[in-house]
Amino acid sequence: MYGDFDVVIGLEIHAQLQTRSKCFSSASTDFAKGDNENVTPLCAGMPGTLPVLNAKAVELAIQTGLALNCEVQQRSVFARKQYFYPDMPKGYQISQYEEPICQKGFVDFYVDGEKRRIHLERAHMEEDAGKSIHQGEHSLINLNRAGIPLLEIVSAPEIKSPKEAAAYAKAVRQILRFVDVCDGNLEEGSLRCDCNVSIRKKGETRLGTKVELKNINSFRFIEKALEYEIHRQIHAVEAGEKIVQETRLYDSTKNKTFSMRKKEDAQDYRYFPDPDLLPLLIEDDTIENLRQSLPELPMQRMERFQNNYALGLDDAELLTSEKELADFFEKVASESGNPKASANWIMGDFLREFNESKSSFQNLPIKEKQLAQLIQLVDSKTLSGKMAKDVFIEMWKSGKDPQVLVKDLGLSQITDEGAILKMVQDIIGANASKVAEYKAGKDKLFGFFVGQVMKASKGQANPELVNKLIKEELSK
Amino acid sequence: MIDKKRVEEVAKLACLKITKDQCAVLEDQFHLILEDFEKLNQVDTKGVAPMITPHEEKIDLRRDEVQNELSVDDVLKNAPDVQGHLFRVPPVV
Repeated sequence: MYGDFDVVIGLEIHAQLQTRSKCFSSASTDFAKGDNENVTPLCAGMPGTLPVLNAKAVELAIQTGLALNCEVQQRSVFARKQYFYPDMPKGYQISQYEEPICQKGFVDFYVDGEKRRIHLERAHMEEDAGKSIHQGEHSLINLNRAGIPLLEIVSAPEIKSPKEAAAYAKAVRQILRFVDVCDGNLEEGSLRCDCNVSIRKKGETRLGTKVELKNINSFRFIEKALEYEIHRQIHAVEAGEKIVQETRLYDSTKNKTFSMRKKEDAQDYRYFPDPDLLPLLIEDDTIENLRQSLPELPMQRMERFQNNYALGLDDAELLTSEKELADFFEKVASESGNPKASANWIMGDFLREFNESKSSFQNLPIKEKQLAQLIQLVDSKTLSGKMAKDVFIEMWKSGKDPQVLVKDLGLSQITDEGAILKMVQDIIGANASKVAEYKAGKDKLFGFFVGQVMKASKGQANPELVNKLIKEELSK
Repeated sequence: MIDKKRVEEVAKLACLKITKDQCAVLEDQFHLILEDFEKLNQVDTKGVAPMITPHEEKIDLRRDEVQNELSVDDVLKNAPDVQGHLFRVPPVV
């Protein structure tokens, strides 16, 4: 893919753990609050304050670790990562360094129909920094984010392409959302992704010098930023230059990466165990209870959909992309008794309306039961496929039951063979010249007769019967 | 080993401005302190895990409940400079 070069990518994903209060203080994590309204003396770095760990943050970190197949540690240690920056008034970030809460682990996912497994090195808890707004003359600081609990998920450097990197990040996000530990919103920053990337000549076993890319806030940009950076590195090496270890920022408007800081001025964070926090001890029972509480994970659910409902990989993947969508599908499938049709309706008409109207599963205009009823109306031949699509749009607009709409719109399908035959004969009788042309070999006119009959029946005639009867009448 | 360069590095990490004279004094002081620490290196600690705390026990965690302790006016009270409800600081980039 890259000529003589192999690419090595590792991702650091920072996931905001969905708690009501911050990691070490009782300040709110509410996004909607005004500037600096979610600040306690601890967040502001006031002297004499002490951190007290949030039980919920620990629980969510454990659940995430389990969902990512990690070994959750019975003992982990919080450390101080020291640097001076106004968005971190304490002068250090509380993080975990040598003994993180989760070790190892792996994530399975599909890229282009092939299953891939990316291993994790670790996942550790830490607090977020505040937000800086840079205005040239000065910077403005909002500490609402300072102290929000994060889990940093670190992959092994074994991702081989930008596409795979984006697929891996999506898979992690999907797991976080299924387990309901993080809303995974990249734009709002509740999920952030740093990419480490290096290149090396094919056959070389040592890793090349890595460059870290920051500031990437969409899956598409993960791919684009990496693609740009890989080509930049290849060009540099081919021109005889040496790659420098550095942090680069991605600018999505220019689709380029820019050097932010070189390794020479890299910080020495002087990590050491935080004396304000005792090691975090977690009992086996706690871990096991949380393991039991995990929902079915996306990969398992996708494979079950393929097996139980005879769905293809792509369909199963799409239907399990969000937990609510998978739940919705399963309810419709079981209520209608027709999983295949349920899948088609949901992937087609349902998702089209859903996306166009920017709906959410909390305020869906139609219920699972209603879609199931519509599917049954098609299965019982009360409605043709075309009519059902029209009914669906009306259901989406009004929220009414399909049976009610069939009545209101006078839509039920005509399956009475005698009635349809009468219409067919009328149309054939009224179009003698077209019939002659058809019989002379102009096969295309068949569609004309079908159209006329459907029009005469206001779209209500069963299309299969119409086809069959026209064929019979014309061959007489 | 501690030398002038190392003292300057540490000062930079700590965001401290020091004069040449202070640097020389600190170099001597660091040297004395580190010499004492050197003595610890004489103890054989092979197979001994680093002790983070003398009393390792399960800690009480905080329940996930919001309790905003400060009003935004209080938060900003000590700030030398503000803009709206934001802290205003010298440029950092």
